[in-house]
Amino acid sequence: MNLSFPPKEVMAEMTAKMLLEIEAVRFRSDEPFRFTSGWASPVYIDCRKLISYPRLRQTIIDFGAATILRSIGFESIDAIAGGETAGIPYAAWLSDRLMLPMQYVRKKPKGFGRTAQIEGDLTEGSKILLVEDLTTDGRSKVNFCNALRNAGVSVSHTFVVFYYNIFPHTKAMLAENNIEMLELATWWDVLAVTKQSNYFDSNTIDEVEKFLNNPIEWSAAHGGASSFGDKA
Amino acid sequence: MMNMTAEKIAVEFDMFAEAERLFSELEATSTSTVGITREAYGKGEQKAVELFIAYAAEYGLETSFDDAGNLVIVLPGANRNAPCIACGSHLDSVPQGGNFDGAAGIVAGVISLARMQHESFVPACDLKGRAFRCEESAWDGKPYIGSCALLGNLTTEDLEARHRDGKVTLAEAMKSSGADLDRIYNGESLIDPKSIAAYLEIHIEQGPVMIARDLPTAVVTGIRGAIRHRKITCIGRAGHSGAVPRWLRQDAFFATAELISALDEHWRVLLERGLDIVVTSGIVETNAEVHAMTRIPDEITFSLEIRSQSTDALEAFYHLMQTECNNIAKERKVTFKFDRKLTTAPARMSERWIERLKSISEQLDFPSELIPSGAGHDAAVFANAGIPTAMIFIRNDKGSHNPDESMTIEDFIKGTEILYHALKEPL
Repeated sequence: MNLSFPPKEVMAEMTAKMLLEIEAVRFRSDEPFRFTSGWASPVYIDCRKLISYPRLRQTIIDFGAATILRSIGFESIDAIAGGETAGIPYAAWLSDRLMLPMQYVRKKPKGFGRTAQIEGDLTEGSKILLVEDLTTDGRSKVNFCNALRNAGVSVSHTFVVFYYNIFPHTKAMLAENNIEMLELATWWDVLAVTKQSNYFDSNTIDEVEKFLNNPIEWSAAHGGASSFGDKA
Repeated sequence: MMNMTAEKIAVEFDMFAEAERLFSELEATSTSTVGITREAYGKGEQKAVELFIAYAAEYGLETSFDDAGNLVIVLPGANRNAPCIACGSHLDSVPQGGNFDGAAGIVAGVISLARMQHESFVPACDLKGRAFRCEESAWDGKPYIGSCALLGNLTTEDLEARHRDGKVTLAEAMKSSGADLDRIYNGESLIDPKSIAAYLEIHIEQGPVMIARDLPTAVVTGIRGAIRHRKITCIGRAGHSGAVPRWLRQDAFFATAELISALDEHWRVLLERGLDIVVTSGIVETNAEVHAMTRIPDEITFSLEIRSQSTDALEAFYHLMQTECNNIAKERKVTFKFDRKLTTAPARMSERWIERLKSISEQLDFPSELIPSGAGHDAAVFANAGIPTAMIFIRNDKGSHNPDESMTIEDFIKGTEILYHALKEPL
């Protein structure tokens, strides 16, 4: 294992630049993107695109391994579990890098039994790190963690490449569920990079900033969900 | 603010009282006990026609029928040969629907004309309130029948489709309202589109957005089009529910369920990518004559409707649906049979009129927000005939096509006020 530990801000900025470089980030101010949870948004991110770029993904995994080891420790996790679907490749590369076993967690159980939502061998009582590509408002993390805990393992941390960091209470809600989240970059890192460069015109950036500062109001004003619990 | 003399006289013409009266009289034309039913080319619709004729007569407005059997109420203009400005909406309701879907647009138009007559205002050109028949697809499968007939957009297949009751065809039902069927069968436009300078329609909003955003009125940007099948049949093979193993089954219902789940997943992903699409399967049936708890169903019939503001999105989703059907048919050894594909084109509203309605809203101190229309309207037919068209939405709680739709008269008056000024001081 060859690990370096660049400062957190450097990793965040580089991750944002990589996402912009491969056009995994899209800004659009007219017709919004609409998410499963009902939110309308002028921003869209597709972290799955990273898997097609070996040099980028290798760097992302370097950053991920550094972040995990620095924040959680070298011997504090026993296995890496990926969340279906987009979390699975990242979990595979991280488990390879950290020489740890791997599982993946389904969104819904297949069949029945305590481990119906888990694929792979799971050792009862082991400490699992949940890996996904991104966190929007955190609700799906709780679903995956509960599935793992029901299967008899402990989960205290989750790692994602990208975290929205715009919906209030996400980290508090995760904390209530005893989950701590580690991430490489957020929308604020992407916004900072776009402001220094000319990926998008200034009107679009203004609209995006309006959304990032008040996503609930922006969503409601564009026909999307207007509060949490609104499953539009 | 607007012209003060007009404002002063407007106080004398009590729009609020006129609207309340017309809506309560309209409610009485319903033929159902639950909600409002004004059947297209039926009794309820006809009673509503008579009511509007009587109201127009009170104010000395001219009334006539166009060659498609729709009601026309006219406030004559100074130049009767100039292209007219039309406004209106539809008379019919869905079965057990609400009182405002459609009717609100006619009431707003007729009240605006009555108020101008009351104020002795003579417009530059004729102002025509139009009340269309049979806009709801619930009656004959296809929507906007009255306006399509007027503009020559009905096909022989449309005209020979069975009416909801199964007893008569659409053509037979239309005949009773005095429609010129020979010309309608020929696909002739019964009016010269150039004789209409603009078409304006008021309608209640049928989605939840204006309630959520606290908007009494809004200006519409465009209208979603649709691709529909009234009846898709999935055919498998019947069998004993206990005796046939999974791998030998040809279960029509499981196949249909797989199709709907697959479409739901495509829809979810396309929304994330910013496409405008809604998908509904409003009717799903097993064959009641033979279905049984212990019988593997050999036949499922269902409806499918895809709506979008974009023709490309409609066609792309339709193509996806066909691909899924082919895959499932192979996998589960069933067949999907489609009835006629009904397409209604999306429509864009006139940019100039959107700006005009926004500026009138601002002058009246109302919000001037823009929203798209998820539901279809007669306005789409006018827009697609090349007539400059615009729409005003009025806030409405609890959706439409149900008895609980609720529009307040206060909001209705705001929308009508915008229409009144738009008709009075057109472009």
